[in-house]
Amino acid sequence: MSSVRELGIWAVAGFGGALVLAGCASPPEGTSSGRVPVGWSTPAESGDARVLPDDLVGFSDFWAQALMRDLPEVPRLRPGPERTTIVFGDIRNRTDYMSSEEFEFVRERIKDNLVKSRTFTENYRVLIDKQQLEALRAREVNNPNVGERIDPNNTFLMNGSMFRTGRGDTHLYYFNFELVDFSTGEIIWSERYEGKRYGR
Amino acid sequence: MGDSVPRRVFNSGSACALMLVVGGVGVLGACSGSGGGSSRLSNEDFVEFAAAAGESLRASYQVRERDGESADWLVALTDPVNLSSDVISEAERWSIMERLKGSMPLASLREERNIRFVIPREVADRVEGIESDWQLAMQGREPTHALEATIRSVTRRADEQRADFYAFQMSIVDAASGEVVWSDDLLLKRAAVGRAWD
Repeated sequence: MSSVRELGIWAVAGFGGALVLAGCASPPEGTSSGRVPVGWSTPAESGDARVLPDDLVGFSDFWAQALMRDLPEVPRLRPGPERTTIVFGDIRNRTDYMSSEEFEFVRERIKDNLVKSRTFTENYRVLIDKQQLEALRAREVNNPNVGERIDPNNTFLMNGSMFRTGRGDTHLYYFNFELVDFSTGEIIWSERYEGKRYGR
Repeated sequence: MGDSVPRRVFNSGSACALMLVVGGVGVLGACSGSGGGSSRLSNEDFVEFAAAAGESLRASYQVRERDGESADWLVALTDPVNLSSDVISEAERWSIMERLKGSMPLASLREERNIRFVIPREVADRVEGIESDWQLAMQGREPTHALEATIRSVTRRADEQRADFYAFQMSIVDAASGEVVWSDDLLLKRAAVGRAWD
C-alpha cells in the first residue's frame, strides 16, 4: 500500500514538473500585443481564412465612391432645386459567408461615406428608416410621432444585396444596388459593383 | 521497548502536499503561458476615440458652415451601442460621450454655430425621480438632433494569434426627418499573441 502511495506521489511530482517545463517553453512568434496600424495585416488575419478587415474597409469605400459618381448621372436623380431624399431600405447580406456584424460595418460605412461628402449632400439627403426614427423619437423626444418628413415624388429607397461567389482560390465580392421610386415602387436604377479577392 | 522508531522528517503526507504545490505552480505556469496579451480596447482607445470624434465634428463642413442664425441644433447625447466582441461597461460607454462633450467649446458653439447640447434622457429621467419640479422643466427639453455612436469589431484568429479590428461609428441624426446630418468613424486594430484569458 505504501509503495502504491509513493508511486502516486511521484506521478504527481512528475506531472507537475512537466507542466512547469511546458510553462517555460518559448512563446509562439508573432506580433506583440497592442495597437497596430489599421493598414497592417497581422499574422492572425493572414492565417484566418476569412476576408481581411482591411478589405471590408476597401469594399465599402470603393462602393460609396461609385455611388457618388454614378447617382448624379441617373436622369431622375439629376440635381435640382430641392435635395433628393434617399432612404436606406432593404440592404441584405447574401454572401453566406460574412457575419452580420461584418456586413453591418460595410453597410454603415457606405452610408457614412455618402454623408461625409459635401458634394453629395448638397444634392441628396440620406435618411434612416422610419422604424429607427420612431425608436429614436420615443427615446428622446416628448412627441414620438413622426410627421411628414419626405416628399414621395422626390424620394427613393436604396435597396441592395451583397454577394460572394467563386470557386477555388478566387472569390468575387459584389454589391447590387437599386433605387426604387418611393411613390410607385418602380426600379429606376440598378447597378452592380465588384471586388475580387484571391484566397478569401 | 524504549527503542524509538526514527521518524521520517519528510513523511509521505508532507511529500504529497509538496508535490501538489509543485503541480499547482506548474499548472499556473503553463496556463499563463509567456507573452500572452489582450486585444481588448484600452482606456487610451476610449480617450482617443472621443478626442477624434470631437475634432472631426468641429472641423466638419456641416458645423463650419453654420452661424449664429442657423436653424437650431439641440443635440441629445445618447448611450453608445456596443456591438463589438469586447465587454464595455455602461460607465465606459458614457465616458466616451462625456469626454466628447468636455472637448467641445460649448459657449462658442452656442454663440457662433447655434449648436447646443442637452442632457441625455437617462439623466433627465433620474433627476425627475428626485426633483418633481424637473418634470415641468423637462417639457422644454426638445432635442432636434441625437448624437449616436456604435462600436463594432471584427475578430480574426490563427493558431495563438488574435487580432481585433474596431470601428467607432458616430452620427448626428435629425430627430424630425431622420436625416443623417453628420457622421464619421475611427478605426483601430489590436493584436495579441499567446495564451491568456481576459
